[in-house]
Amino acid sequence: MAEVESISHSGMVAPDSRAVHDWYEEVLGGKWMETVSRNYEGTRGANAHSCGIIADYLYVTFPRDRDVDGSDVLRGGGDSFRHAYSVSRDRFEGAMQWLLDHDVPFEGPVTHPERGPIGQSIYFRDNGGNYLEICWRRDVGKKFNPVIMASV
Amino acid sequence: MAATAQAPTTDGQVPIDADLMIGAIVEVRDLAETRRFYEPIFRDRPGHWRQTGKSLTYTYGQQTIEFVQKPRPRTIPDGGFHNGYRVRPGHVEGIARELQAAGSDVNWWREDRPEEHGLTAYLHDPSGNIVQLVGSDDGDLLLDHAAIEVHAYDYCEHVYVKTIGGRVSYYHGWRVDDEKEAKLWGSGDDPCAPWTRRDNPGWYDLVGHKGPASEVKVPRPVTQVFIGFGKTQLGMISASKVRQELPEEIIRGTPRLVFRTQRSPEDAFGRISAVLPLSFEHDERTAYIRDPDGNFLELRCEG
Repeated sequence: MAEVESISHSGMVAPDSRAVHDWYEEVLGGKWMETVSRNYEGTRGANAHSCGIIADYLYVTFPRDRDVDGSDVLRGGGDSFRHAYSVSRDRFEGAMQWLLDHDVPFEGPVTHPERGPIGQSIYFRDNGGNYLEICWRRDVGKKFNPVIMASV
Repeated sequence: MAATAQAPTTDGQVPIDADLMIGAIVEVRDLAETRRFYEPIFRDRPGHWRQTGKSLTYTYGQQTIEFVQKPRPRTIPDGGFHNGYRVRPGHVEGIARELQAAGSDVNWWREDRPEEHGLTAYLHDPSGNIVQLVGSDDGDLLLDHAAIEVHAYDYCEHVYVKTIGGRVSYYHGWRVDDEKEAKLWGSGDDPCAPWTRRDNPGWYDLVGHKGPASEVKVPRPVTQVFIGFGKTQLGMISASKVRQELPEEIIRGTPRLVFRTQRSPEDAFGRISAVLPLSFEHDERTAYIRDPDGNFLELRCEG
């Protein structure tokens, strides 16, 4: 067994990696941590390579070209891959309003099965086309959150 | 190598709103040869020269360029450090030709900021400072922009954006399109200024390569951030060399860029103290700051 502990960070890609970084600050409240890491220097100087944090989650950004779904697709795309952030139930409405105030279209809220761990979710995308979700969790008060399967 | 520390944050702090780069202090070897070189450039913006001791100044409107004589001037003839001076667009070629006839080298390059996409003339002054001729019909200014070399982008943005209040107007090196342009340069089809591109393999490009590292060619854009102060711009160019800095206790060094704020000295000095985790010096109306990469600036308070 690899005995991994948790997800450490994610690499977010976009055609303009600084623009997506700015978006994470303005829309999701991220903090810019570092633009160039010396570990990522080429042999003749540094390349732009920025990373930031949202709460305790670290993200790095890279400029990459790729095919993305049209902007009308808000939820998961073909492979349903996305990053999901949680907020308290009390703040969920506020999060939706925040997205509306920042002209970020979203799908939802979607209410999940009553005995599952997740209460409701909204789905949207960053300005680089990456898929995101904000949810509130029913099991937030528990000291340890074992995986429970929804009963439908 | 020491781990890179986090950039300081300034939540709730309001920067100083410097509204113009009002000059530059440039080190030169000889004042007479310096004046001979700059006269054809500056005559497009008629102002007045003044020489006192080892200082020669040229003032046009709100801006003053000061040349200070040093036996071994601190110049960077082979990097991104340069000043762009405005001349009328129809005069760029003639001025370049005149200076070339007088013995200056002239290169025709372009840069990445949209306003600098067109080819223009770049020269070295007699002391080795890089000078760019910027064609502009806007007669308000002499100094259009200045560019400095940086290593620590976050800390330098903290000085020029969060402390003295410039605004990021353009950046380069973060986009896929910037990388594609660099490949075009690598093929030899794009006359970019040399500090805007580099052939820059990383360790993963060298893995498995049997020959010398110099054989591996990976064209990349040089990271650049431009910061606006009113109509003037400061360019931060990613340094490709480590250069000797002055001793760290020197805060009021040269070469130095000069910025202006409409705030009072008390207000501005207080804000610098609150926001900048670096020591700075001041006299009655001017603050002197050394950025984290050893570039010098001063902020004159006119309020």
